[in-house]
Amino acid sequence: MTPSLASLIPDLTPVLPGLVFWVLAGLSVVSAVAAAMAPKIVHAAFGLMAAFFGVAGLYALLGADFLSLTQVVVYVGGILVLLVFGVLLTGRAKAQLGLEKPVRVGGAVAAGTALLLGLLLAIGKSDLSRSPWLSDLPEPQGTTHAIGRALLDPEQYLLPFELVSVFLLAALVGAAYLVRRRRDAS
Amino acid sequence: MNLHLILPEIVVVAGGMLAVAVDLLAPASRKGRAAPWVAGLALLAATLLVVLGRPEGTSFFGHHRSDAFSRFVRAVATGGGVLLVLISAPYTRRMDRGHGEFYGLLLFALVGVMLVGAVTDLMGLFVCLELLTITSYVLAAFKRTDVRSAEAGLKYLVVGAVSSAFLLFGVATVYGAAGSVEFASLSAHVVGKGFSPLLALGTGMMLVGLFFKVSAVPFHVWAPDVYQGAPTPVTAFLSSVSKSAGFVLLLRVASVLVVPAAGTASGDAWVSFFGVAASLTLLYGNLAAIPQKDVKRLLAYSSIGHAGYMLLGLAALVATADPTVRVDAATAVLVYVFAYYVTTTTAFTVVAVVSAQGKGHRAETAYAGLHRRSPLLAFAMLLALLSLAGVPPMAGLIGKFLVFWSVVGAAQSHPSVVVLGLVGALGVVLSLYYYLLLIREMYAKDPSPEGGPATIRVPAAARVSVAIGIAALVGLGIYWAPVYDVARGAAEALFASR
Repeated sequence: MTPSLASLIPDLTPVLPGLVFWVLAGLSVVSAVAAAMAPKIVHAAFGLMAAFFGVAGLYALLGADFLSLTQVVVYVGGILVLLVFGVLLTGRAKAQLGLEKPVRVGGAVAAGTALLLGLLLAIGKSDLSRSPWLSDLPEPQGTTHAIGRALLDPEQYLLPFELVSVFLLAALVGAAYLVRRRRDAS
Repeated sequence: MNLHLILPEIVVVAGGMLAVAVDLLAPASRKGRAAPWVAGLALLAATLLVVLGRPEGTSFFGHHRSDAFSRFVRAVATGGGVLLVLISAPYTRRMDRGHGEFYGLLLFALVGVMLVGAVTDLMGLFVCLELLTITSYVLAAFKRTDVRSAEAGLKYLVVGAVSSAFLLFGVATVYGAAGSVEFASLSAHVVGKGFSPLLALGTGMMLVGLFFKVSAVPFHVWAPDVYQGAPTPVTAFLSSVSKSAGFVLLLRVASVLVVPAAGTASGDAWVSFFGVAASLTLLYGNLAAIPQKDVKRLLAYSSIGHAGYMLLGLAALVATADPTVRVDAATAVLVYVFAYYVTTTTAFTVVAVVSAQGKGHRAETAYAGLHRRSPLLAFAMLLALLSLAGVPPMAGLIGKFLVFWSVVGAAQSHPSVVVLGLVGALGVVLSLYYYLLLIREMYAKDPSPEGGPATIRVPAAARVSVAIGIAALVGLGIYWAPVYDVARGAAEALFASR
């Protein structure tokens, strides 16, 4: 009697969460160290990006979906992009930034075109409205709802939440003061 | 929700926003006139609300507690805030912009301090502390065009971020170990299950984060540069408000997490933790102050030394097994905080007026023969220095006396703290030496030709704050019972509330 195909594939369910954890943790730690040690500032920024993604993955693994997405949106999408723009636009010598190598235009164009074509192909092939699996999915049990309640519930974290708004106001006022151009110079 | 209980905080936040708005809308010729008044009056109103209104009870369903402890903290923050506005007013008058921002940030920082004594969980504690520190970074760098001020702001930012990271990581670890961020359930956890290694790690990291804030050795390296570089009113703020808030938090964390373990093996480990930090801070602060020629740096090192005395009181607090001695120790720390607050504010008022002459802070030039150039300033500085040294009948003596008294009390259950008492006594002797050097400079020397004009004109606001300072320094030294009683009530509330 030949074993069925399914029994040939080892059951990874018990080890998978641990495996994913160690991969993500390793990614976070290694790239954080790389970010701290990198002699070129752009390399440090990319190390930081990998670390942010690793941490976001850890949050997702813990079931903190809201936190995980916020981590990506705020840190990778906001702070890191701002950081890279800031670095690139301050006009340092390219050698200091780690951009001394000639830019390979051809490769970049080829990679970009391939990605675009692949995505278009995927979008064209799929018909989300008729996918049966979508309607079979259970209602999402996300943490967003619970976090929203906890933050605005006076029995839980309303006081720290209100304090954070004062805190952000103070940060805005301070930042605006420190970076504003002198009036006589403008 | 008992919103009237947080009315003092609401008044101060509103005052801060009003200060920013009023200054923004003022015509260019009248910039900076209204902001100090708005800030001062808001703080005065909040002080009256706290002292006369005596708020009592909890709001936000137990997340904000108004008891004797939080009243003490809020009264120190708001009353001291009025003094800070008086010190700052002559300074901000010379600025061409940023008046509203200065007072707005000052008031926001004070709100953080006011709430430090009232919050009942680690989340609130962290947010309050961050509100205080992020405003401090901007205030330290407020003289943007001055390299030293920018350097002070940057150094404070880097060190502050590291210490906040320690604190937050500690909070997360404590939560992971004990499953709660509420003070009451954390204490119950320690009483029931003792210290697991994870909980000890988290508590240790929280304490290290707070040691950064109060510039305890070995986390002190930022203090001299930041104190020297920041505008003088901001230095006064950092050494008074910031430090008091740090010690209030240390008292809170110690009473919630460390005191319930008293008498066990882990309790003894915490005694050594506090004891080593206290003795290192005492010795380093007082020894390193001796060769300082710059008065602001001298006061910075002396403030490290004073953090050592307050840590001494905390060491006594965690060492003793006797609840009465424990209250004695907490009272001693609170009275010390109050006395140090009054003293350091007075000293920095003098420094602010003297440095307004534009001749720097060097002892042998700007302060030589100060009593001939301004008898009032020299006298105020004399009293402040004597109070810092703990000479009778000054306010500083009371704090030192109570701290040593609680160390003696704690020695009955933990004899090794006697060593700490001896280190503290050595610190007093060392500190007398460098304070007397500055007094000699002011009274026995002739004014230096590089020290600026022959007579120093003292602005009206500075006169008021110097007068309040002198009255408080001498008055508190002679008739200290009221402050002691209030502090004792606060200390009892600290242990009753957990």
